[in-house]
Amino acid sequence: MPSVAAQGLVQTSGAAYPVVTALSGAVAIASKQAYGTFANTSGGDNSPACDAIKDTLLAAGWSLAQPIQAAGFLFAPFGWGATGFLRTILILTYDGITTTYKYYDPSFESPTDHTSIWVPIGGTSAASQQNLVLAININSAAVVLASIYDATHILLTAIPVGTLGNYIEVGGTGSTSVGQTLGGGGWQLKSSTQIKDFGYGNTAQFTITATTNPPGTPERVWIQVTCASYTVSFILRYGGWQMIADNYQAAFFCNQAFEAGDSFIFNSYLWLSALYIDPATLPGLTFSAFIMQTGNLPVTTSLGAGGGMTIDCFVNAYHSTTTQGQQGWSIAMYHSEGGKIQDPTGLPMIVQPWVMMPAGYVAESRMCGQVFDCFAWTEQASLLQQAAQQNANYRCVASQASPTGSLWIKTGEITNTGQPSASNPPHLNPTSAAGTGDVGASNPQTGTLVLQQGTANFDSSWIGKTIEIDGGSYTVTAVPSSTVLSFQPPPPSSLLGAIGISWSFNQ
Amino acid sequence: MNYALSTPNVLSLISGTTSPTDLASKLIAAFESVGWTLEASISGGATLQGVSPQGYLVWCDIVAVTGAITIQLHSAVGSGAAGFTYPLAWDASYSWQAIVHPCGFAICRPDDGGTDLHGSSVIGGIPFVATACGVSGALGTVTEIWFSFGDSRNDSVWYADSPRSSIDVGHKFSSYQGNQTGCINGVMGSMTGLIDVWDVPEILRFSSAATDSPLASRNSHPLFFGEGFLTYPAFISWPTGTGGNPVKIRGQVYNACCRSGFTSAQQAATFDGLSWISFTNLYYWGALWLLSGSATPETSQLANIAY
Repeated sequence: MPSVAAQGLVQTSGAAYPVVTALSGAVAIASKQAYGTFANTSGGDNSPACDAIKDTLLAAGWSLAQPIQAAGFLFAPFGWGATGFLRTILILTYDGITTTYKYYDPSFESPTDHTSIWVPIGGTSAASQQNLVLAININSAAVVLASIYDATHILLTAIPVGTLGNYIEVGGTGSTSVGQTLGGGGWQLKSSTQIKDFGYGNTAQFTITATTNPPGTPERVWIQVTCASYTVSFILRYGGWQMIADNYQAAFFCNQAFEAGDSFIFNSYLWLSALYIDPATLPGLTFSAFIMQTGNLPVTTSLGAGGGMTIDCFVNAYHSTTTQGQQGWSIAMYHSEGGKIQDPTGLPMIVQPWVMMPAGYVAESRMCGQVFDCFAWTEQASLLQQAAQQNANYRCVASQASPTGSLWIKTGEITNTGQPSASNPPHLNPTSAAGTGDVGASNPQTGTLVLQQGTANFDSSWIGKTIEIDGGSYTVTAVPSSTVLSFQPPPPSSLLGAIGISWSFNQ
Repeated sequence: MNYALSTPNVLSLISGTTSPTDLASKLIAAFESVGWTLEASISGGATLQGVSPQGYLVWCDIVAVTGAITIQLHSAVGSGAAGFTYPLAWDASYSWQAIVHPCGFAICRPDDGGTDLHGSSVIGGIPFVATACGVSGALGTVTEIWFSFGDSRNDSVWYADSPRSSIDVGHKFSSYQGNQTGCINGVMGSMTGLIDVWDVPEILRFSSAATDSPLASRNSHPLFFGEGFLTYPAFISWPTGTGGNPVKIRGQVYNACCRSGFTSAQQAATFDGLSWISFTNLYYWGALWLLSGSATPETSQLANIAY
């Protein structure tokens, strides 16, 4: 049997690419990628934005850790238990249903109608407050959970999960009571981990909490990212946003111009990533991740040549807050401080990048893993620019002029990734394209088998037939050349980047 | 990792020479022992022809002159292209290490890290060129391709950078124009009027994409967490013109690789079943390693020029 190399979808220019094969042959491909958009609207309801973030992360293989329940208050500045024309204490509205709560004095009064919830007063303000809490928890049990916060406040916590609770309106009378409509409902999600999915490698995991109640600026989308018990608070700029995610990372971008009066005009970029760790290359490294954000400053992305981003790096137990640079965060790749690097035909190269971060045990940074679903290109690009490579869509997440380069992440977008045209994103290096034709609605995650040595050739007549690879059966979907073959379903992660596996095809 | 291999590959030590003529004679013999053929006898030495496994040709003149020998590559296919004439200063006390294979060579003094002001190292030859892939199709026909690095002249103050001292930084001063050469299809990389250290052939480095700091203490060696180093192919690259033009990979150096560790020259190592010796001396960003022993045809593997 000829020896072959199975490779993931990311592939540098051609059948064998030097950096990866120089290391371990492994390609860091996650099982899921997703792309999403949302709007963070000034003065508007941004609950749908939190929902979009949740949905995109779930599609990318994250799990829902818990809903964040909306909460609000009922405030009685003068105490509880007023009757007479001041008896209305709470007006609760949700899903089109309004429930009004009124106090009455049972010593001489009776409820006068059945359209309201009548609450008997107690002998004291505290007793009346307690009675109201009990009444709310009985009659509005499907909407809120009431509890005593302090002598003048009742805390109302939404029962509808997550952002649904943000639509619960709490009204007071304006005199005896003041209502604070519930807010801050959202979602908390956790990324997967390499060690869970691959059985080895990185243990780093992120928790993202997406709500709409950042301190000091209500109703705006607020993302809190936690890694290794350290939380980064990121209040999003108003505008339209795009996000890319896979099982181990997420990136958020706002490319729109900022709005006048927005206090967070520079908070337009957030990228959190847990890296792929190859234990053979990085023994002793079990935790490797970073969180990159603008810190509400006029900074830019780069691959290490300046920029000014605020980057929290986590390397085993060592945490540092740094920026792009030689002894901060950077991408390691082919490097020339002359002109941009090109292949022999004059096209920019595709290179698998390594992430360098402060390692803690030495003043310098070290290569601490690879970004999943990512390649570096030796040419500049615009942020979020699209490209099609090997039947998958990628978007630019960082770029720099000198040394020239950009970073691209697979988005999971399923579009027409066939021949470059006015409606299709271009191939970054056409000579390395392994396939043509529309992807359409099909799963873009196909396996790619590349023949490196041997005399047998792949044949286009095999399309639609069964091929056995390393004991598993797959259907051939394309044969772009005599040495490259695409198949579905995607291979198990153990085959990604494997070299020397056996295959057979029976006509 | 796959290497571009040209065999036989022989490392020999030459010492006790009595004159530049004696040194030239011994070097010519070393070249011929691995397959270079005598193309012509010339005054003071010989023109030898090297052939790569892919069939590309180059001529190499080895000539004894007063106080030195010179080495120059030039076209064997009639293009007229000629590289720089590198001096190797001679002294009876000197010894040399010559690593030669059918289409390349690396000559140096084991006791010198490329800083001798009068010339102590030369490396050159024909690289492996992309073949049987999409890039080769786009590249078109290659009629000849070769490169060479070395010192330029007897200078009382400065020495030129070469892979002996730096795998990618070129010469520093205008007086050293044109001493790092590359030729493809008869066209030399533009080597005149240069003042930019990057407008010359280079072996592509793998390191941080952050701009190099002029202070070494503010850079980071391209090492893995845990201090392991990266091994990667030695791509020979050069721009078409001057002034920051794209650095185009031309091919992969035979019997060579790069390692990102900070290494002194003349270190021995065995990896991937082959014996190696470090050629670059104490360069911050890594070193060029050369095959020091033989490699049988069975150990030859597909060269991965990324295509």
